[in-house]
Amino acid sequence: MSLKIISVSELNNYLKEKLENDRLLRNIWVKGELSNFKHHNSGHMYFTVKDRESTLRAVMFKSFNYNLPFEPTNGTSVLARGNISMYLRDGQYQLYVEELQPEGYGVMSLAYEQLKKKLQDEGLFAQERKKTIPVLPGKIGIVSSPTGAALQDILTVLLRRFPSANIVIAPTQVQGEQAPGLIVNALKKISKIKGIDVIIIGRGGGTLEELWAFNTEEVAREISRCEIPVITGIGHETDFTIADFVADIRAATPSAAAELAVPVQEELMQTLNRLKQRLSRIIPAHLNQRSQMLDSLERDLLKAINIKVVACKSRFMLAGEKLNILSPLSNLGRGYSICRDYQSKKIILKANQTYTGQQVEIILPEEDKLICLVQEIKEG
Amino acid sequence: MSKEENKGKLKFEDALAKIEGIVSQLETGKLTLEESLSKFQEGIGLIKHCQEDLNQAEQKIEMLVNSEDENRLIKVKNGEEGACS
Repeated sequence: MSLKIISVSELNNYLKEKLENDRLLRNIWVKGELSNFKHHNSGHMYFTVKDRESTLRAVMFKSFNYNLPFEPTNGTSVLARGNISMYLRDGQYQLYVEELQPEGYGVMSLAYEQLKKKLQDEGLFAQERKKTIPVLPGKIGIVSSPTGAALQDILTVLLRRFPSANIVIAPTQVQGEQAPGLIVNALKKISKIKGIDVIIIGRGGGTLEELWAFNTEEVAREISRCEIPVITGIGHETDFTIADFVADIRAATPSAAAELAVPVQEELMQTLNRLKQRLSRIIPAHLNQRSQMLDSLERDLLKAINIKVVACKSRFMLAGEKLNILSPLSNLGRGYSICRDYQSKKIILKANQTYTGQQVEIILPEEDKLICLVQEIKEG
Repeated sequence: MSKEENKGKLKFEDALAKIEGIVSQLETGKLTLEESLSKFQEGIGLIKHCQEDLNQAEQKIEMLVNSEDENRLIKVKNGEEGACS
């Protein structure tokens, strides 16, 4: 039987490897009490985590602890997340901590983070799923405690903005063990009421425990399932519950939720009136414009016609004058007369067109006529 | 507001958007007179409809009553309470 002889380093390395290769030890949450806490100048934190029977060495390097929201102290109950490995120099396995939380806060926070991740991965927080809130809701549903200040705040804001609001309240407990189930029922009932177009879930400020119902899976899923748009107004500005993530829109407070749910009635009326005025001015303005266009076209037309008429008139007059000048009748004024056979009215131009004894008519200016007999014919 | 009666009619915000669209179109002045008049009619009609919606609304606050077999609404307003089915 020969025992293998190895060095300390070899052994520790072997153990280190064993520890690092164990899948379970790569990412664990450990609960215990802090002791021997030392915050080094380097920024690194060294401490032990212990329970009644056992201790565990731990280190939290500066890169992980720099934004810890609290300064750990001995005696604090904590939850620490990290991996197990070995510090070779000391031959000591320890927990390399990446996340540290005080325990009371921690348990709930953990559950919160886990549920948040789970639902997020399912896509329940996706923007595409969120419905738009109608501008003018028919009926407004409110899920809240009937005795809480939140309900009063919501009603005040709703009625101030929209005095004619039509509201249905589904009363429910908003904290305590029964709360999640009751909230789910209230939500179910109110979404079945005919005419509800938007639902406000409201709850005043409180501790994490008091708001807890809104971080439960059943409430989150019911909101997600709801076919009517949901506005959440839970706690104060900085409170983000899982219900808020799943809602169609989150308001910082119950009052803010009411503001998102209704428009200001007065403003809507004014908007409509203004639109009506604008609309009413457009047609007369158009007609005026077109009327003007017609007027100027009419003027142009008349002008053009006048010019034409004047031109025609002067052509006509010119022609008339020419005609006058050329007219044989104008000759009569100059001493000429027209001789024609009295019977046939045929004009006599030559002597051989007449005979002695013929009755002839001589036309003088101004239609004077002489009836004569041809006495003698002398050819020229 | 009795939205139940308004099923089939345009949603308020859609009507409002339509009206604004019509007003913009008309203000460009590019439509014919016939088109302008017809759009005008449509716009006025929509505005009237929206104003009616707003004016018909009456304040009403109700609270669901949890009972074993059914939900009933109780009118709650200014301290008055009365049962209504």
